Order: sequence, then C-alpha cells, then structure tokens
Amino acid sequence: MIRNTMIMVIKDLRLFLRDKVALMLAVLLPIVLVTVFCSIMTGMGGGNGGMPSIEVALLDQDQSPASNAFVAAFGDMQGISLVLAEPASTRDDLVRLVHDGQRPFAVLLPEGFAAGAELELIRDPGRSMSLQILSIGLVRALFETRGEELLWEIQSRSLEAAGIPAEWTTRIEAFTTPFRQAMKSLFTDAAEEGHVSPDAEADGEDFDFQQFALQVLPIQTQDVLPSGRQEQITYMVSHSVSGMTVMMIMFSLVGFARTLLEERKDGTMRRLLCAPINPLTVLMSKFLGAFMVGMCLVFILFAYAALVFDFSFLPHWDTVLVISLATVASSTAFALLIAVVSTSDKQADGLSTILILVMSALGGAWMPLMFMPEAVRTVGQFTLTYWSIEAYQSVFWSGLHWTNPTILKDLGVLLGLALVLVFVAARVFQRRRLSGFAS
Amino acid sequence: MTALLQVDGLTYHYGTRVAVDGVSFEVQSGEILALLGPNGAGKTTAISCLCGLLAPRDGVMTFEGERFTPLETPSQRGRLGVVPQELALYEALTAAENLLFFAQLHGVSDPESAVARGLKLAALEGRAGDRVKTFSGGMKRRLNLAVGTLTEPSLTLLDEPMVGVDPQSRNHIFDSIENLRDQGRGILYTSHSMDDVERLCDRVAIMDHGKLMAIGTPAQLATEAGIPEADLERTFLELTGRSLRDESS
Ligand SMILES: Nc1ncnc2c1ncn2[C@@H]1O[C@H](COP(=O)(O)OP(=O)(O)OP(=O)(O)O)[C@@H](O)[C@H]1O
Ligand SMILES: [Mg+2]
Repeated sequence: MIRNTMIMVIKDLRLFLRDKVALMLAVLLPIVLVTVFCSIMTGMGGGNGGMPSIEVALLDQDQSPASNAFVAAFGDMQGISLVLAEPASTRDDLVRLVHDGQRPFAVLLPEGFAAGAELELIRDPGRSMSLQILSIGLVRALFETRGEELLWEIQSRSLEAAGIPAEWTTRIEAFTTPFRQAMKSLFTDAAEEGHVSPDAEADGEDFDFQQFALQVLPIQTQDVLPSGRQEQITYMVSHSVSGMTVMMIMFSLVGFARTLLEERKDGTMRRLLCAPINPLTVLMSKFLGAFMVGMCLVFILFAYAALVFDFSFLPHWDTVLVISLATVASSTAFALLIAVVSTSDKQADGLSTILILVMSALGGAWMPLMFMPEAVRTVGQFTLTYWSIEAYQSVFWSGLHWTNPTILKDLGVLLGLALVLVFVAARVFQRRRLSGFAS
Repeated sequence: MTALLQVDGLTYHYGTRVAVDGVSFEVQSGEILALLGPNGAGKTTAISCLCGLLAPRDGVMTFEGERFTPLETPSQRGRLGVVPQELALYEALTAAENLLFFAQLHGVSDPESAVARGLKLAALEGRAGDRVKTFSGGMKRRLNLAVGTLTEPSLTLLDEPMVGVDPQSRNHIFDSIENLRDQGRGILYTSHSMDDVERLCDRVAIMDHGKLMAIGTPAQLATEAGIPEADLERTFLELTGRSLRDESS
C-alpha cells in the first residue's frame, strides 16, 4: 500500500508541477491576496484600533505662533487627518462643510486664540464614536500648546460651570497666584539642581500626553510584552497573514483534490480502480500529495510575509511547523471530502467556494473575531478556520510554544477534525465505488 | 478444455434500468471473442463487471478455474488486461511516463522492459518522451491499447479499441491483437465495425437490450438467423432489428 501510494503521489505531483499556469496561480494568487489584505490591515491597524482616520476641517483665523503650534500638535495625532481651510474662508463655510456632510467635524481657531479665546468645534452629532477620538485629540493638542496654563483655566471654568459667579473666583486667585509663582520657582530650582530638564513642561516635542495622563491619574499601568513577540509586528498584520494563509491554502488544496474528479472524467480513475491495489490507496495518495503541496504553500506564504511585512516566523519555527502540519492536515481532509462528495468539477468548485468563504468569514480569517458579535464568535468555533487562526495567533501574537495547553487544544481539535473528515471521505468513496459511482 | 473465462447469468441494474440481463458466455485461450451490440446494449457495463468496477447483481464469473470476484478481491483485478472505451491516459505525462506509472501500479516485475514493450506495441518509440496531449487521436488509441496489455495478461478486455484510427494504425493494432492471440492469450473485443470483427474474431456474441441474443462463429450465426451465406452486418441487423436504440428503453 505504501509503495503504491508513493507511486501515485509522484504521478500526482508530477502532473501538478507540469501545469505551469495553474502552478503560478496556486502560488501567486495567495501572495497577491495576502499582500492586499495585509496592506489594508496595516494601514487600518496602525494605532487607532481599526478605525479609518477622521477628517477634520480646520480654519486658523489667529495665525499666531500659538495657533500654529496647536495645528501642528493636533495634526500629529494618529487617527485624525486635518484638512486646512482656505485662510479667506469664514465660520459659515465651516458650518456648511459639516452640514453638507463633506466633513464630519470642523475646528475654528478664532482671532485671539493665543490670548485665550475659545476654539470652536463644529460637529455632526451622529458621529459619536469618532467624537471620542476627536475630543482626546483636542485635549491633547490644547495641553501640548498651552501646557500648565490649561490646568488653571480648567479650574476656573469648572467653578463657573458649577454656578459660582465669575467675580467670586478672584477670591481663589488670591491663593492661586502665589501658588503658581511658587510652582514656577520650584521648577526653576529643580532644573538648576538637575532634577528635571530645563523647559521640561514647555517642550511640546517630547510631550507624551498619553503617558502624562496615565502618570497623573490614579491609574497604575504595567506593560506585559509576550516574550516571543517581535516588537514591530502589529496584531492586524499577524492576524491577516495567518487568516489569509489559512483561507488560501484551502482553495489551493481543493484545487489539488479536485484532480480526483478529473481522473473520473478522463477515465483514468477506471484504470486505477481496475488495478490490483486497495482503492483507498487512490484517496491516500491524493491526501498525501495535497498535504505536501499545502505545506510548501504555507512556507512560501510565511516566507513572503517575512520579507514584505517584517513578519518573522523563524524564532518559533517548531511551533509554526506543528501548527501548520495540523492546519494543512485538516484543510486537506476537508478538500478531499469535497472532491469525494462532488459529482463534477463545477459542483466541487461551487461547494468549496461557498464553504471556504463562509468558514473564513465566521472563523475570523478576514476580521479578528473580537470585532464580531457574540453570536458570530460562537458559530465561528464550528469552523476549521477558527482553530487554525487561534493557533497561529497564539504563536505569532502571544508567543506561546506548541506545548502550551492553549495551542495543544487547538491542535487537538484540528487533528480530530482531520481524522473525522478523512474517515467520512473514505466511507463515501468506498460506498460510491461499490455502487459504481466512483468511476 | 476448460474455458479461460466463464460468465454465467451476469446481471447488472443501474437503479431500475436493466443494463445486463443474465448474460452467459465463455472465452477460450487463444481465442478472440467479439461482443457486438447496438448502442446501449450493455457491452461496456458487462466489461465493467468483469474488470471489477461494478458489482454484478447476479451471476457467476470463473477465471482460470477460479471463482472470479474482482470488485472484492484486489489481487484478481490485475489479472485481466483492460482497454477502456474512452482514452484513459494522463495527457500531461509522456507516453513513457504513462506506461511506467501503470506498470509500477500493477507491480510488473521489470517495469522498464514493460515500457519498452508497450512503446513498441503502440509504435511510439520515437515519441516516448512527448506528452500525450501532443498526440493524434490514433496515437492515443495505440497507447491506450499498450497500457491495457502492459502486464501481458492471459485475457484482455478491449472496449472499442479502434475508434477514430486510420487504416495504418488499424492494421498495426490488428497485428498487435493477433499477436496476443498467437501467444495463446484470450481476447474479448467489442466493436461496431463488422469488417473489423469479421477480419479478427473467431466467434461473435451479439447483445441487445442487455440480453445475449446469439453466440457462435459468423457462419453459425447466419445459419441460425435463417440467412446462410449472409455477411455479419446482415446477420446482425436481422438479429437486432433496424430501429434506433438511443431513444427507446
Ligand atoms: N452510469 C450509468 N448510470 C445509469 N445508466 C447507465 C450508466 N452507464 C450506462 N447506463 C445505461 O446502461 C445501458 C448500457 O450501457 P452501456 O454503456 O453498457 O452500453 P454499450 O453497449 O457499451 O453502448 P455503446 O456501444 O454505445 O458503448 C444503457 O441503457 C445506458 O443508458
Ligand atoms: Mg460501450
């Protein structure tokens, strides 16, 4: 049986390698898809959790150093892209932009902004998600340009908001003015002694609002980087590389397993079944051939991603290999079953395309399942794709070794599915052979 | 002398359609038996039962004195040579690769010399390294025949091996088949060409609607049909009628 299987595997691989066009497609198509998907995902996943940038129209009527600094700081914020309005335009122009839906938001820096005049935010209230990001951006930019002044301003504004008459706040200023002076001299002295760098607070370039906020608020943070993760890799890149790989090898494997149907159409299946061999050898050899092709393809895709997306799998080569073996085994079993139950090429193509696309969507090959509703996540667990992607993400993103129980569970599910699918395929094939349908 | 192959009451149904209905015949060593019949008579189905592709619903087959159940017994499958009605070849492989693959699959003891023998039988020695898809129809037919006789089987089933071949190829194939007979091998041969059958075959079996209508030498059949001296074609039409088969049944 082993000898016959090898004879047939060699024949199948030879046929596969001979069809140069099909071969190019089998390799190039996945590469193109991985490229497109990863590029989109890296663009989106840059820093604002998968949201596209928010376009904000901005009109600077002040044209002061302070307003320039604000524009620079605000425009620097990730997830916000500023569209500067013509200096000649007016507030009404900004309102019209938002009203006509051309921009969701507009910001007006009025004359006197440097002297403390309020900036104005013109907004479309329907865009609440974006508004959160935008508010953080505004606060941050104000902090970066006004610095400590902003804190005092916030204080008097909050008193005012609480209903305390403006003239009463002078009572507080009697205390705060000496306090501010004391603070200033504290910083000057500290700088002289070398505890802080001169201009520490005024230096907008190095100011990290996020870090500052986390420092001054009663929040403790600790960064835990999984030991194996490469620093440069983002969640979206590692996710889309594994997702697209899992989806594309399924397509390629079905393409290989389909030769079972071609053999039927060409009549060579009759010859195989008339030969003095165990008929399951035919199935076994298709499985092995497809399996080898699948492993090569996974390697090519990961190597390509490593070159193009700084996505290195070499530090974890053993875990990646084990997961790939399980993934390719289960996908091959799936492809084989499709080929066995179909009665024509067209049927196999249609059936596999639908199933692979649905499994990819539900299993999280396109979008991480954490962005999906609870129901989808539950259903997703019934797909092959889900377990493969989980396993790959456990190594690429979390840096786990394959001996870790999390990955072992994924591997168990994948191999279990592979066994069940192969078993069913073999049963169906035998039944069809006995009823004369296999040839 | 016991027959090489003995078929008794062979029956096969596709669902409710009776394709082969209680057919009995035998093939002797060194004999070419023609299996004739209009389209859809059940010739290919009968051959499929013989080579282990279909499970007969009924009937007993005996080959070389042994009960013959090829579908269930892998070792028996290789004992018959099969040349299918369709060209069953890998188009992307070369002639030599096709022969080698099937020789290895059948466990031929010396695959290399089997390939050489096959190329000679197909008269394709000069094109051994060319892919089958670059061959003409007649060349493919010859290779199809060569693949089916690689194992030098004592009985070969030929299902319309002459479709679409020119007179030169035909003569070559005739010679090859006669050669096999002269080596004492048995051959079951289906065809629609009465000329071919008259030239090649020792005895003729005529099937229609799944049933065996008559079996014997062409002269015996003509006498049986009440038209002695008639040629095979007239006898055939006399026995099977003139109506077209494809639309009925
Ligand atoms: N796979 C199948 N499923 C159902 N019916 C079939 C199948 N193959 C053949 N038949 C039917 O069985 C009958 C016998 O067909 P078969 O192919 O054995 O005829 P044949 O004598 O070889 O004809 P031909 O000379 O045209 O090759 C026909 O009525 C045909 O329609
Ligand atoms: Mg036929």
